[in-house]
Amino acid sequence: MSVRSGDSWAQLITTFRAGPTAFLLAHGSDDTFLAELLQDLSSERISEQTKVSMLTLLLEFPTLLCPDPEVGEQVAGSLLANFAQLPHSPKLSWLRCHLLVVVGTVLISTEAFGEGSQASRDYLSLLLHLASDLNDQRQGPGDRGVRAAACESLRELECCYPGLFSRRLDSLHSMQQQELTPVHQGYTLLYSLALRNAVLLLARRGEGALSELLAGNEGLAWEAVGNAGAVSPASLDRLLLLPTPSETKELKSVLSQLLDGSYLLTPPAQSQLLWHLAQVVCVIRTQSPAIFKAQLVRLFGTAHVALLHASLQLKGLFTDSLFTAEDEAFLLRRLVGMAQHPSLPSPLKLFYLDCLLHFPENRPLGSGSEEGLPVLLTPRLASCLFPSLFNDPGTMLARLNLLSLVCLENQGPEAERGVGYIFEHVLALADTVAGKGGREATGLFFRATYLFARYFGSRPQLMGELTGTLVGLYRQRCSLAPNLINLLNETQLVLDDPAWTTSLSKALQELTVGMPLLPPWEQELGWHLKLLARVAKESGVPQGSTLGFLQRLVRLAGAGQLGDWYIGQALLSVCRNLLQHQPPPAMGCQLAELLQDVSLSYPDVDVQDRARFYYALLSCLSGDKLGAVLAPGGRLKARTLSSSIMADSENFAAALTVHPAPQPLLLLQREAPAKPTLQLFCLLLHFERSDNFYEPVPDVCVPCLSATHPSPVLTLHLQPRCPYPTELAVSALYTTQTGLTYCSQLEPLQVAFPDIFLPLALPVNWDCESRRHLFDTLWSSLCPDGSGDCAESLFCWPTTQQPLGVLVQAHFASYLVAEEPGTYKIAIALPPHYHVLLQAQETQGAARVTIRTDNWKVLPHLSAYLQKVVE
Amino acid sequence: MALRGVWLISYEQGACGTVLFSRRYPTVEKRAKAFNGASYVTVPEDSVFLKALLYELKLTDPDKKFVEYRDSCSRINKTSVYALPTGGGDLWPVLAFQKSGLIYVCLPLVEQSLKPRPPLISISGISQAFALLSGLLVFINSSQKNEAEMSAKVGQLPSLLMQACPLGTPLDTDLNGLLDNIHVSTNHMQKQPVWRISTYKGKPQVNVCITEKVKSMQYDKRDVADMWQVYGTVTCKCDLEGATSNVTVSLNLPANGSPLQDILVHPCVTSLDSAILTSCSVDVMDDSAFSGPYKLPFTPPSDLFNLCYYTSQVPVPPILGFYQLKEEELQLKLTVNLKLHESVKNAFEYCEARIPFFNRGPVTHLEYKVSYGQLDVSREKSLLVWVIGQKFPKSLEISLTGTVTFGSMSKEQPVDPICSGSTAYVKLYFRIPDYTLTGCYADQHSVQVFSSGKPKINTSRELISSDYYIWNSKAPAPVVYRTLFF
Repeated sequence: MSVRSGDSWAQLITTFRAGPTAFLLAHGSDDTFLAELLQDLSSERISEQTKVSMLTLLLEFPTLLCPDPEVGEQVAGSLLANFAQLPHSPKLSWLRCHLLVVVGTVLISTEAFGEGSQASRDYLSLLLHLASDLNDQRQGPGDRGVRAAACESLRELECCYPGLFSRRLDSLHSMQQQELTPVHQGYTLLYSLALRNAVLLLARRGEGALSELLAGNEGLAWEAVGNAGAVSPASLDRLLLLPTPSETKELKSVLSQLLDGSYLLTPPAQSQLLWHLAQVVCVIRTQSPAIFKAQLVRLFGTAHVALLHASLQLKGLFTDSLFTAEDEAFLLRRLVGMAQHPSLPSPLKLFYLDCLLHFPENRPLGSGSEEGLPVLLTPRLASCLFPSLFNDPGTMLARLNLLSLVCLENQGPEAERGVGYIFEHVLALADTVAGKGGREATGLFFRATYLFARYFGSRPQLMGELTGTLVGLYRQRCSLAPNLINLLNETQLVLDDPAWTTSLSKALQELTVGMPLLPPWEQELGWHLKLLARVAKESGVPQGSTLGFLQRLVRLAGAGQLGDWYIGQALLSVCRNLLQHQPPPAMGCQLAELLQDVSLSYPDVDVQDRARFYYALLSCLSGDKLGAVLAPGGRLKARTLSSSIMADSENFAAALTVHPAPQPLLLLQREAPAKPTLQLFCLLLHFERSDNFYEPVPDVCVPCLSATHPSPVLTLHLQPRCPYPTELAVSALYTTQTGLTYCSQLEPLQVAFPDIFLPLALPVNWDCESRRHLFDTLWSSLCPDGSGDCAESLFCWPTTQQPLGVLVQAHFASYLVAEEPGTYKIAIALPPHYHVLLQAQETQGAARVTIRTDNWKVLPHLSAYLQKVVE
Repeated sequence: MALRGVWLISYEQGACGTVLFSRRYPTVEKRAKAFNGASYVTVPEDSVFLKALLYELKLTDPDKKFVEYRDSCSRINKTSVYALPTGGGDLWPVLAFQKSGLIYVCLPLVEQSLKPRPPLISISGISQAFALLSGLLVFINSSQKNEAEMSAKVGQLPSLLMQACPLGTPLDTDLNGLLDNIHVSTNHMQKQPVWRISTYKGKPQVNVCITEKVKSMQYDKRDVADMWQVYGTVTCKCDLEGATSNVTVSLNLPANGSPLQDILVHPCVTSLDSAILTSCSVDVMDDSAFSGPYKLPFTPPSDLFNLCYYTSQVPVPPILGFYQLKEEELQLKLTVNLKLHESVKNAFEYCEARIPFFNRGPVTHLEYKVSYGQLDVSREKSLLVWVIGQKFPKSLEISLTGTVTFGSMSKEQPVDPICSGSTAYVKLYFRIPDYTLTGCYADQHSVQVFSSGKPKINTSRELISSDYYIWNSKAPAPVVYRTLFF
């Protein structure tokens, strides 16, 4: 194998990172890639920087590259050999750091680490050797980074295998004490973690003395390799140790020394140290938590999230044995202050708000895992957390939630006033929706409404007002229908007494059925029917007015004023929900009449069929059966419905829904019949424009499509508004033989520029002279005058491959108006009312095409087309 | 207390995102497997992760109006912590911040089962994740940002993360501080703070700057209380030689000054007097409040840093105003009155009042009278700018009256969901150098430096407006401050 270049490695690394599994699959299952990687890592021709980035692959994806412990062991061995060969130069210290960290990662994550592994033993002795160079005495400050990496690798080993260094606590402690350079942080974290693990394991074992543990100076506890996950903070409260007074004293001096120096560490390291020591103190019951007292003021005042969190964790662990009632009140006030501190970023403030709802109280009332208010969080304290319209959505909702809880759990005039303010806030959000609020403002308002309904759903007066607001919004913007339906569904799930959901449904129904049916209604009518379909599910809402509304629609359909498939289906969805949710005696007669009207007079055949089917269901089945048949998951075979209504194989609901088709079955082709493989019914092709260059294209309906019949030829009438090429998105809606309805996106239909060319409408009996005259007159009339849309342009064709005459005959024969030797005069009409004139003239080896048009915007399309003609 | 992965993702509205940087920690992953047990969900590859993240952050399908998974009213995120739907279950707790086209993401280790989900406060790694992401955010956003500089910064991330968090346990979160981390040989007599890696050689000097910002919402209504709030930041830059320099900054208040509240200090502050912390904005003010001096002893980092943050309650807003706007037939009649409080230093660097008009057409005609300063119409014809300049007149009171006529609404004109109807505001922009509203100051004598050589000490202060609104009192206005007590 030859050595790759740095660039080639950089590229490989990028590809690998983008999709590691796919990369390795592409490189075959054997380990050639790994072998190449290891080989090039020891090559001298590769720069240190490239080697560092090559190592990141092993650092981040070790288990993909080394599938089993044996490979892990080999890789670690090879990297250790690599490390040994590198000289102690400061220039190489970065690469050496990486090697140390990578070897540890590979050994741990491939599970190769253990006493029986040579690489593991070598690695550990290397780390301990490096770490023993206290205060840069042997290698000088240039190697300090390597030493820090060694400490960190040792810490990670102790973290993954708790107790590994539990027999050498004294030696770790003495290193921690002696080190004075900034690397002391690494030694401190290593020692404090080893101490915590040793103490917790001692407590778990239940035998052994603390003093022996602290004075331990022996080898490694390899058995710890089996301990992974053994030391979990979750098990803390079940562990305890009661050491002798002298042992406690010894431990206390260790802890005090560590705590006194803690301010020298970075905040994340300090919080780790505090957390480790807190767990030690928690287990050793003879040691008072008051030892942390001296740190508390500093922690209370900090702007750093990790330190503040550490103080909250201390609070949770030690409650009143460390925090007096006064401390507790103070910490809570600080936390409230920080949850709204203008200098802090908002994600952090949200975290503090969340901490307030899980505040570790000295005397907790709740379980702790659910949201709950601390007793001390009074309305007075919380009033500074009122939401405002200027909050970001997350902050606003979090504050609304918290304040609602505060007002709910407290009584008295303050809480009442609070509820009033919260309600005003929700109404103010409604105003932003009614204003020019977009999707975000709408979402925010409905979420706030949901929260409000959840907490205050039992207050009839406020909820009544809220109903009025929602109805008012729907009157202004029918497109809010999906939001309203969603709100009805969600509040119904969470409210103990869904009376409000019912009354909102009723109010919306009242509004909808009273809406005037004036064009243009299609869009809005769809929303109304969606909403009515949802209201139809409410058994507490009388549905007479809904039926009346539907009857009006059917009359309009009968009079030919509406009747597209979509509206028909939406109308029938309302009927379906009525059938399912409203007991027949109440509705039966009227509904049956309506269904019959639809089946007779609705202009769409599919809608008629479905209505007939519902009619059959309604007239043949008792109420109970009807409910069971139509319930989601009700079992019914769709296709055989007309013969036998009950069957057991297919879901009826499936028959009434439109399913996305797994793959497009159809292909629209231009006058080249495609063979459908299946029999399809009621095929509806729907065209959507990608731009506004054309008039909307009406839907096309094909009653039946089958393999045994030739494919039908459909004619599409395209009416350009501007003479440009376009693309039409095509979707097909059809029913298969199984009776299910599918919707499928077909290949878009391309309308190319030459598709819209039309010849000039010339009388057939015109002679050449008149035609030439016409062309010349047109030509001069299209002369650009600088003000209008007329333009002239020039284009050249190479005629080396094809003579000009052949080109013209092949592509422009029907547009050729006049011809002179070497010159062709071509006129093309572009609907709706534009023209392009071409004069093509043969010159040496090329053809010069002069173009004039009365719409300069077509020139780019034209020249693209002319280019294509000769390609 | 560790992280399973860190990601930096670029995202622009409407486009799909790109993973600019990612870093995984396999040894932490191994622990996650052991701790989470049956509830463990593996971290997917970057492309899957990205997709799930954008989905969960509601950044997909921007052109669809209502999509249940995204827009359902019961999907409420009250924190920046998300559960990402991956093939193998929901990946939780994924912390994600969005800022100026970037998403900063981190997944901390949870050292217990994830079912039921433990509260965030009990997850040790969560604050480490916050800290690391905040550090990353500061690093990416510090200094001018152009495309090249930005990609250079992203290029530095692997090496910075290798120092800050080599094996998943954050060792430092101040990434800027790690940039020039070179190891200097010194004779250490005692342990030095880890962050104090001073390479400074030169004339010693200490800069202390107090920046106060003032927010206000004024309504000129009987039933709505006006709101104003002051908050300050003290920034320091200490150029001192040697590793063991200590500095003490004392912030002082004059006799009539407003006590500092909600003080948050930088972690380099070595000790605090508890009296400094007692005053909280959530408390009712009393006269016995501690009023300084606020002594902050610290060992300075070598970079510029924020020594402390505070808030305060001052008795009056610096500029009190009212705004009246009435719609009369086809034109708006407006009156604006502003009064500078007599206790405030009347020497601005700049002071202007901006009067925007939303949801209307362009300004076609304007007639006005100002008692002071000058009035301009912005180029977009949707904003009046009243330039007041460096000083209020002797009376300290100025006024503007005028009528504005608008053309028909067009797409270019700004819209605002709050300012519908006659709801409108005037927003003030000003800066007063060498002045603070609280009276808080630091001078030569209040900065003590314990270091070799006598350093030069520079102190400065300023007051800047921030969200200073005066609402039209003739129309409804959004209320931002509510008190439950009268």
